[in-house]
Amino acid sequence: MSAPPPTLPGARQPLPGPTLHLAIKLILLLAYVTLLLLSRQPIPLLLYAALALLAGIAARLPLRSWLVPLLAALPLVAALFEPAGFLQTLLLGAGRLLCVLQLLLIFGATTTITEVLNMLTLFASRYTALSELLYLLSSTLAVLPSIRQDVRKSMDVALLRKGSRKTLLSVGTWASVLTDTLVRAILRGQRLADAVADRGYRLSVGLTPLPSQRFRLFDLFAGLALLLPGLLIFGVLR
Amino acid sequence: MSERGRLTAYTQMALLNAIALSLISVQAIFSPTFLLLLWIIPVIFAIQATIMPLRLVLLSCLIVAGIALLILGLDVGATTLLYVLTGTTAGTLRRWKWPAALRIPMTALVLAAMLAGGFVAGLTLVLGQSINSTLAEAQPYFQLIGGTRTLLLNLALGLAGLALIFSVAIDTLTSGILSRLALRGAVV
Repeated sequence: MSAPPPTLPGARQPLPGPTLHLAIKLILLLAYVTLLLLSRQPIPLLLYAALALLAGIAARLPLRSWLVPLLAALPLVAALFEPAGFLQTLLLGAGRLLCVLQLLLIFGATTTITEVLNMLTLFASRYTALSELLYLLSSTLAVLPSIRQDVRKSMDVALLRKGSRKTLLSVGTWASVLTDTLVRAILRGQRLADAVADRGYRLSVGLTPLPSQRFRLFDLFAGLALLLPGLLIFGVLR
Repeated sequence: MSERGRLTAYTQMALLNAIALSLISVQAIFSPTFLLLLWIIPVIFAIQATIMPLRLVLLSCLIVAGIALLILGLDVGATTLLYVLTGTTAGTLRRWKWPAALRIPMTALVLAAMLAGGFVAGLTLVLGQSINSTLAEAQPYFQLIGGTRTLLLNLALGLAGLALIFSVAIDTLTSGILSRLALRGAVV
C-alpha cells in the first residue's frame, strides 16, 4: 500500500472520499465556467444551477441558506422579463456569478494548494529557467484563498469605524478598504518572503518536486461523464 | 538586486496580483463593475511600478494580462491591458518623481487614448466595418443632435473629463497607500 503524498505544514486537508486527478478537475472547472459564460438564456442557466447544487451535495459541501434559493430564483425571474432587456441581462449576470461561485467553492473544497503546487513543480523541475515565473504563479495561487479574508477584515474595520452598514455604500469606505487590503498584502508579502528565505528556498534552485497523484483511467471516464451533462445542456438548449 | 530582495519583490507581487485577478474575475461575470474597477485595479499596478524593479513589473503585468486573456476572454483581457497600462504609466511617472500636476494629465491622456482606441476597435469589430463608414451611415442621426463635429467634440470632452477624474482618483489612492507603507517602514 503506497504512503499518502506529503502536504505543506498547516495546509487544509481535502474532504474524505475518492478525488479526481487535478488536471481533470481543472479542465472541468474551465469547461463549466466557459459554458456558463456562453449561456445567455434563463433555462440553460437554471439547469447549470441545478447541476452546480447537485455537484455541491456530491462533494459534501454544506448547503448555504442564501445560495440555494438565489440560484433557483434568479434564472426563473429572468425568464419573466421577455423580450430580453437590461433587467434580464442583469439577473442572468448575477445568476452566472453565483453559479461560478458555487463551482469555485466545490473546486476549493476538493483541492488543496499542495496538489496545485505539486503539478506546477513538475514543470519547474523540467525547465529550470521558468523557476522564477513558476514561483510567482504558485505564490499567486497559494495566496488567492486568503485574499477574501483580508477584504473581510478590512470591511469589518471600516464598519467598526463608522458604526453603520450604510457606510458600505460610500466610495470613501471602499477606498479605505482597498488601502487597508493593499497595505496588508505588501507587509504580509515581506514577512512571507523572509520566512520562505529563512527556510532555505532559493530562486535560482527552484521548487522541490513532490510525489504527485497518478492519473488513472477512472479519472478520464469520470471527467467525461461529468462533462457530458454540461455539453448536452449547451448543445440542446443554447 | 540581491536574491532575497528579488524573492521579496516576487512574493509581494504575487499577493498584489492575486488581489487584481480576484477583482478582474468579478468583471468577467458582471461587466458593469468595469466602472468601479477602473480606479481600483490600476492602483495595484501603479504601486508595483513605483516600488519594484521595472523588469519584474513587466513580468507581473504579462502574467496578469495573459491569465485574463486566456481564461477570462478577449473583452476582459483587453480591459486588463487598459488597467495595466494606466497603472504602470501612473507608477512609472511617480517613480521618476514627476510632480502631480504633470503626472495626472499624462495618466489621463494615456487612459483617454486607450479608451478611445478601444471604443473604435470595438465598434469596428462588432459592426464588421471601418469607423469611417459607420460614421457616414449614422450621419442623419448626428444631424438631429447638432452635427458630427459637435457630437465628436462633446464625446472628446466627456472622455477627457472622465479620464481626468479617474486619474485623480488613481493618483490620490496610490499616494495614500504609499504614505501608509512609508509610515510602516515597508517603502523608503
